[in-house]
Amino acid sequence: MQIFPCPFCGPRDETEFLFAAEAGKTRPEPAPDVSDAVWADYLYGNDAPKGTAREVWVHLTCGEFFVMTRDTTTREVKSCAALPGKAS
Amino acid sequence: MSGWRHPELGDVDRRKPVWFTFDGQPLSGFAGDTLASALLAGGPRILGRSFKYHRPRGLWGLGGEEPNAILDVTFDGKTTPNVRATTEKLRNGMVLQSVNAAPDAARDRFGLLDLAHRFLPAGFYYKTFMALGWMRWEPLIREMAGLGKLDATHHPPADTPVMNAACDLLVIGAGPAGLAAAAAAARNGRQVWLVDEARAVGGSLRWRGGEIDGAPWTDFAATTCNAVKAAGGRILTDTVLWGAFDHGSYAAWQRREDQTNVHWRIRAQNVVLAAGAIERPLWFANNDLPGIMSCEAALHHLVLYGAVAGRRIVIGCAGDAPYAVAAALAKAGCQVTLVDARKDTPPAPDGMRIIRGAKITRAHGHREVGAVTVDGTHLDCDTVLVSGGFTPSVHLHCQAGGKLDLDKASDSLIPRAGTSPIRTVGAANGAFGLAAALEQGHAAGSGAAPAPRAVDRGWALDPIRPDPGIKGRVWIDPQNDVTLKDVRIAAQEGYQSVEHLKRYTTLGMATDQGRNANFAGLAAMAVLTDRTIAETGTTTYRPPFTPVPLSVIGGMRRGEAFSPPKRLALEPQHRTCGAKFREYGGWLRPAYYGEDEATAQQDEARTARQAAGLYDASPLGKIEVIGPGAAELLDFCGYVRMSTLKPGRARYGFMLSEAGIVHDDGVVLRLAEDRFIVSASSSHVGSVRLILEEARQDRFDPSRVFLHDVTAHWATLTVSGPLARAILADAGFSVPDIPHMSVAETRWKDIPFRIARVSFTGDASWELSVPARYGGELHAVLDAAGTAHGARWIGLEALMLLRAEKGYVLIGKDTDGVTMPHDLGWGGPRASRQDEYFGRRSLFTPEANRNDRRQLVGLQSTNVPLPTGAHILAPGDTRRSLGFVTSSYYSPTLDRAIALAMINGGRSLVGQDVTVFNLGETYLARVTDACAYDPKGERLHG
Amino acid sequence: MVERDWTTRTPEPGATLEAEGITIRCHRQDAATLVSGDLAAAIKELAPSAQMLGLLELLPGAPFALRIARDRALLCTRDPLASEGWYNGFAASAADDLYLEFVVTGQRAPEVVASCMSEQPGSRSAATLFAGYGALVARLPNGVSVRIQAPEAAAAWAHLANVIKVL
Repeated sequence: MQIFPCPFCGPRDETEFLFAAEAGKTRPEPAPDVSDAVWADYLYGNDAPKGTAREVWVHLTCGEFFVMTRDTTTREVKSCAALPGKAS
Repeated sequence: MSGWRHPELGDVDRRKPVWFTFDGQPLSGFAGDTLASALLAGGPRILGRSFKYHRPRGLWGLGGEEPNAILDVTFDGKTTPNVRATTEKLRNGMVLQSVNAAPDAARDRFGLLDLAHRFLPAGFYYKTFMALGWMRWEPLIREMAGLGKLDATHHPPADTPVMNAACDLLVIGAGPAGLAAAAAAARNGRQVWLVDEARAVGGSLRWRGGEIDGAPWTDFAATTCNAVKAAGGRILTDTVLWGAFDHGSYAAWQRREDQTNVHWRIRAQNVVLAAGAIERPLWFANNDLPGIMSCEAALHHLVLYGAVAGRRIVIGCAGDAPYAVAAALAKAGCQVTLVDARKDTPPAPDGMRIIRGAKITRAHGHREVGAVTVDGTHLDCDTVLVSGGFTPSVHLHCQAGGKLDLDKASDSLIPRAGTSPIRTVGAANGAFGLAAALEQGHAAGSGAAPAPRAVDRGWALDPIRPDPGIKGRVWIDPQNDVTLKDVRIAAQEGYQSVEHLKRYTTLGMATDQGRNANFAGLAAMAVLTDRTIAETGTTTYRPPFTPVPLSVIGGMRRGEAFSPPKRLALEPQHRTCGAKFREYGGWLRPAYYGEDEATAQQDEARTARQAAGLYDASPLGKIEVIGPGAAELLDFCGYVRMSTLKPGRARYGFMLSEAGIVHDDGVVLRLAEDRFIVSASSSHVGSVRLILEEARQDRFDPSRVFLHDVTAHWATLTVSGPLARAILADAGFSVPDIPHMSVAETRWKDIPFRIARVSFTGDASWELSVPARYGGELHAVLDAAGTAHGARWIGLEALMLLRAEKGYVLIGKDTDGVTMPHDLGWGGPRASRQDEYFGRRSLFTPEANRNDRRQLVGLQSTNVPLPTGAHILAPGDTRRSLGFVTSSYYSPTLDRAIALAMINGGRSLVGQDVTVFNLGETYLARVTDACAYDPKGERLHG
Repeated sequence: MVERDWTTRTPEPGATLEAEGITIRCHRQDAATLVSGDLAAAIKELAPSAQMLGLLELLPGAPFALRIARDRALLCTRDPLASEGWYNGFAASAADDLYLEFVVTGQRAPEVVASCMSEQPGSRSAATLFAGYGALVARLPNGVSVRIQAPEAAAAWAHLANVIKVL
């Protein structure tokens, strides 16, 4: 049972969380300017790094989406951060 | 039977005999016995048969590492298979059955297989049984595999609670090292949890004895326990700590007297592992015969239970540890001969015979040991006790990611410090003496004062290895019948990595999980391939540490509790009206009212169209979207724009995934400029809310729009049909005269009352919502007024029929993981929207643009409804499917069968006949528009 | 089709579960409001004396607020919200019947809590999982108060009934 940190609620059991996406992917738009290849890569291409990964997770009990940095091989959680613009 | 019960020794209660049977033979023991001790003291020697060759097997060990004494235990009418005799308490009336033997262990007819052992080495199934195909033989071989028998009537109750706990310091093992760690930490004021799988603390002290700080060890144990409790800690015995997981999470299985098991989830950042070590066997010819036991186990059974392994005992060893065993057995009245591989040994206890610088090379006996050959000398005996060294129980350290190193002094693999969050001490760390164990434990508990003192008996040993040159059959893994020769074959055939060795020979894959075999197998492979042990490596340790019953892990979430649906506030009212319930989209809802489903479905649908139908629409989502940014958020997240919706109006729309797939459909109601209600499908409320939240937080300014899921606050009842308006008037509501697809907020008897004109049936409908506590009142009023007009309560089965007559889709039934909105005939926004919305780009990929995509259509056939899931065949090609039937009913409204289907290029096929195929039957059908009834929608306006 | 008989039921307000040292009682809320946005403003306008509570904090009498998220809370009051929708800087929705409250008291109440929740340090949010169900959890002088969403109350109540039999 891993412990994940919600930037607002603090450390909680992993069962309270859901993986949302790899962090850092910017949505290509507007649609008419986006090629099929670029759009497909946005939808399905993931880095899936071995080691340090930056990921967007959602804490289901409070509903907050946030960025978590963790190691995918050791499962160590390195840090978490509220989405930009969120007050503490 | 060569074991016997000592008249005085042991903690058993000789005043309380306990009666049991083994393979039909009546036997007895005493209260306090385990199955193993009772069988050792008074039962037959042959307790089972080895897995492959069906050779007789007898008791070997003292605890969870026991590889041979595996029994099916029947107690209280229920049989539990594959119980280790060493860890199970003896109870009156227990019926014990040997496993892997027919008819029983003593007379197993499959023992003949041993004669064919030359043809059944490790991996024989990779090289033989190929004539006529392997599958010809596999069922026979599989029949013979396996150990105990499952009792199909034995369903362990779902009664194991989970208990969560957190502690300052978790000490695993309450032997000398663990007690010392706990004592030191508790005196430092730390909250310590001390866990041990035995029924009492003490570990090996319980049978080895010893003095600590000049007093009996029991004094030290008692003061330690008191200190732990005084510092707010806890002691759990009969508790196996079986798993080390992430982030300091540990799992333990506690057995309780006269109570259920408990599944513990313990969080601890500081952990001390003091799990002890397991004795290794010796490797000589026929070393698997019954009557050959671990030295330490013999002492354990003698001291704790008064069960003596035999009378004429030969002890084989290469270290000091068995000397105390020899002394104790001699004192108990046995004739003991020591055979020590070392030339330089301690003095033999009590002047017993000792043969120095010698090894046992062969055991003799047909079904149990009767003699041994010691370097050419023949020695008669009835029992052989062996000690080939000790293997530290490092499993939890390795589960937690830790690495091991070979320690020369203890000739064992011990944890490499700092490679796991666990600190290992005592015998588990290769420190086999009492003084060393106390010191290491004390240090781990951060003891400031001096460590508890003990007089070390000394545990010197010489490394012993299986000798590849020895003659005869030498067992490495007694349970899976892996011999030294098998290890040689594996090496010869190139299976030299320890992972290959394990899987090719099955060494270490038995229920003891390699406790008795791994080190020897590893050492033998190292010698055969001219490598060091470190170079050869070890296999991976995974939880559980010992077998844990699934009922313990499965806990209480079984039966109704496994995946319970959500419940309606008005369920009692529906029950009173005769509803039969079924699960729909995660909710328990009325399926129909009455006794016969088929009749009820037809009657309810018919009445709904002719008079009116009343139904509970409470599960439909009510996600409020509030704030100045609400319209903008909905425009982006939805396929159909809502910013143009006027307050007081409602609009049907879809939510797509970013891949353009229809995720949900539903109506959005606009209550005000800055307030919408998204009426998501009952099964998709959670996921729709997450999609909205993600966009709200990641794309838009979250301080300008907020989401409230208030679905459960409201009870919603819908009145639908030509008499609906009249029913509402008679019920006494003052309903504003709003058109179809609009919403109004008002009050009813000073209760908040919301009315939405939204239709799922195709008839004029009013969805009436009140706070759930008033739902019963609303139900009563509608029931009375409705009944007076000949209306009926209708269930989901009738409702699904009615919406199908109109071609209204159910997401997930008429759509699937590839359906896009234009497949459903909703191509408008795709064609006209210029702004960005969720999923937009995916609607213009080559795949999305294909003109043969599956499209929603209707199917008209004969009067028998088409089977749902039936395939529409390509003309002239009976093997190619063009799509399938998604919904199919007999329509009482139209008096014919109706169906919806998704067919490749379906809309261009409207008017044409197609063949429909299902399980060998074919049907003829005509492709039609999806809407079969009132295509102009005139009935919506009522 | 083989269908299951669902024997569990949503507890009525006043329903009680008893075991040695444990009492669990079901309560209906007087009134509650979900507020989002500027929470200070929301409290000031709708329930000026309400204290904001995080996980397992001691419940005062109504009115009080249970913090759910950074920008959301459940305001528990005696009287229902007069007007729903967008205020100046915050949103408010009626939520009187969103939750049922289970009050767990008695000498052995801590064991029930230990079975249903992990031990965790204090948290600013009262929202967590209780026996696997989303819940708002607060402390009482002799136990805990657990708010479970009404549709899940039947399952949670049945689970508690089973747990207290074996603890």
